Amino acid sequence: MQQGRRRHYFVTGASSGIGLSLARSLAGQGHDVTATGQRAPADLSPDFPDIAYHQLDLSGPAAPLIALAAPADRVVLAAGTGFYRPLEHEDPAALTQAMAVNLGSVIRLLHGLYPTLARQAGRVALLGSVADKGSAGMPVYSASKGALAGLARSLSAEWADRITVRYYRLWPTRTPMHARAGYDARKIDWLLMDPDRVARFVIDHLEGGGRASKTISPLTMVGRR
Amino acid sequence: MSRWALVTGGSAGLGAAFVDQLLALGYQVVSLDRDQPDGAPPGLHAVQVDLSTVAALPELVAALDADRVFDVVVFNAGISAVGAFEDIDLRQMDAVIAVNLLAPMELTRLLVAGAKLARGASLIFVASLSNRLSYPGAAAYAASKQGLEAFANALRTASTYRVLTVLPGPLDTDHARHYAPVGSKGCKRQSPAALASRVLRRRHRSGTVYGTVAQALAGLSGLVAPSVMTGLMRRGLFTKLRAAPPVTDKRM
Ligand SMILES: NC(=O)c1ccc[n+]([C@@H]2O[C@H](COP(=O)([O-])OP(=O)(O)OC[C@H]3O[C@@H](n4cnc5c(N)ncnc54)[C@H](OP(=O)(O)O)[C@@H]3O)[C@@H](O)[C@H]2O)c1
Repeated sequence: MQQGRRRHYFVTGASSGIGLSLARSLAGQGHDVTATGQRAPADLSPDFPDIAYHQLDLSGPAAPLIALAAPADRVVLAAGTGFYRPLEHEDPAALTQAMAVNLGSVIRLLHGLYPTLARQAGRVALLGSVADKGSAGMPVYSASKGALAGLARSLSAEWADRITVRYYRLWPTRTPMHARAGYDARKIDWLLMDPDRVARFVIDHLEGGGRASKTISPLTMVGRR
Repeated sequence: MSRWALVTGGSAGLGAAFVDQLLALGYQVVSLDRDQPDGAPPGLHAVQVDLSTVAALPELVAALDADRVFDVVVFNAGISAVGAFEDIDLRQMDAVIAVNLLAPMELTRLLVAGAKLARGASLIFVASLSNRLSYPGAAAYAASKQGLEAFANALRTASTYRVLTVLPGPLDTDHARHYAPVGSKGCKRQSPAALASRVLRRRHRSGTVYGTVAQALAGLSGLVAPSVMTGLMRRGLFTKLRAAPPVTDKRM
């Protein structure tokens, strides 16, 4: 095991992409992992690790999530959703859904987990995006990630003496997200980062000292496992 | 033919200053606010609406004259909730996100999808200088305003509209006084009229407008040395805000 100490991680978005890489990596390191995702357990990929998995919709009530996550001293929020399309083609329900999953659920979860995180000197990783400054073609996703960045910056300052909050600003990564968002990522395939390497970077970085906000780009990965 | 402007939160503070000046520039102004405006000057069309109920917006936009298009839209309405994040009631934070972020997003979507904007219309988003400095003690507010700036930036690069982002510092308004820490002297507050005219003078261009040169410099420092500025905000502001009970919207 890497960091010496066995931790209890709560991971959202663990059924796909970077969250799945995180769950596999953490389980491989021997940590306790509570994983959640939107899909049913039967639809998990064959390489899903042998860990507890709970199907929970992050746009739904927060209480079950908070109860599930409360024992954890590490919280990694990797769920995310959104579409690549102009505002005039956005659907109001999809707008509400993306804002609820990418922002609302984070606020609820962190608010509810405050007592246990503070008691255990917890650490929280939030997965953000370079779209947080505003990317053409994804106004809603940009708004959600911009808001997440704003939340993370202020909250990490508020909690600095009790809880570590880190915001990871990711460059494009090779996951199913692009296809789900309706974006053909083949044209930027050469740029995409490996989700396993991103996951390992996040896990290591979260345990170390460092800035509240960290951009992860292909350059960050150079020379790392 | 008269030109039309739409202002959210036009009944008080910065919004009222925008309304006054747009009227003076000859616009017909629709103001969306939960409160009635103080007077009834000619050209002002006040619509009473609670912007925290985002689901009510489609009906509201559908009720506008079918052939009316807006040349200027000012997304100004905003509320806050200050105090330690864990002490603030979740419903209050929901209201902050709804009024400050979800309502402008949904309203923009409705206006764009419903072809309610004139060619080259100016969309003005009132965000906050906290986007550069952070705002420990108002994390949901900071989130809403940084989300709004990202939304505005995404629109700017993708549309034919002019998109202005405003990053005001402390203003001399009831809103700012309500959320300021106890005992704050507020001697450096900018007058809302001064900021509104600064913004409206730039309405034909896209970009970012700071309140004052000093605030722009502070904002720049926040971009260059974010941790330093966040630390200053924490010591200067958050320690005062967390010492007192949370202050939230008066009516939520
Ligand atoms: N991939 C990139 O290029 C990239 C770049 C920057 C930032 N990010 C961010 O990184 C994070 C992970 O993205 P990814 O690329 O790994 O995406 P992904 O493969 O699409 O995975 C998204 C995860 O979120 C879950 N999820 C979505 N909606 C949910 C809901 N309503 N309730 C519960 N879970 C829900 C999904 O569950 P199911 O699969 O079970 O439906 C899935 O596990 C996201 O926050 C994303 O915004 C990704």
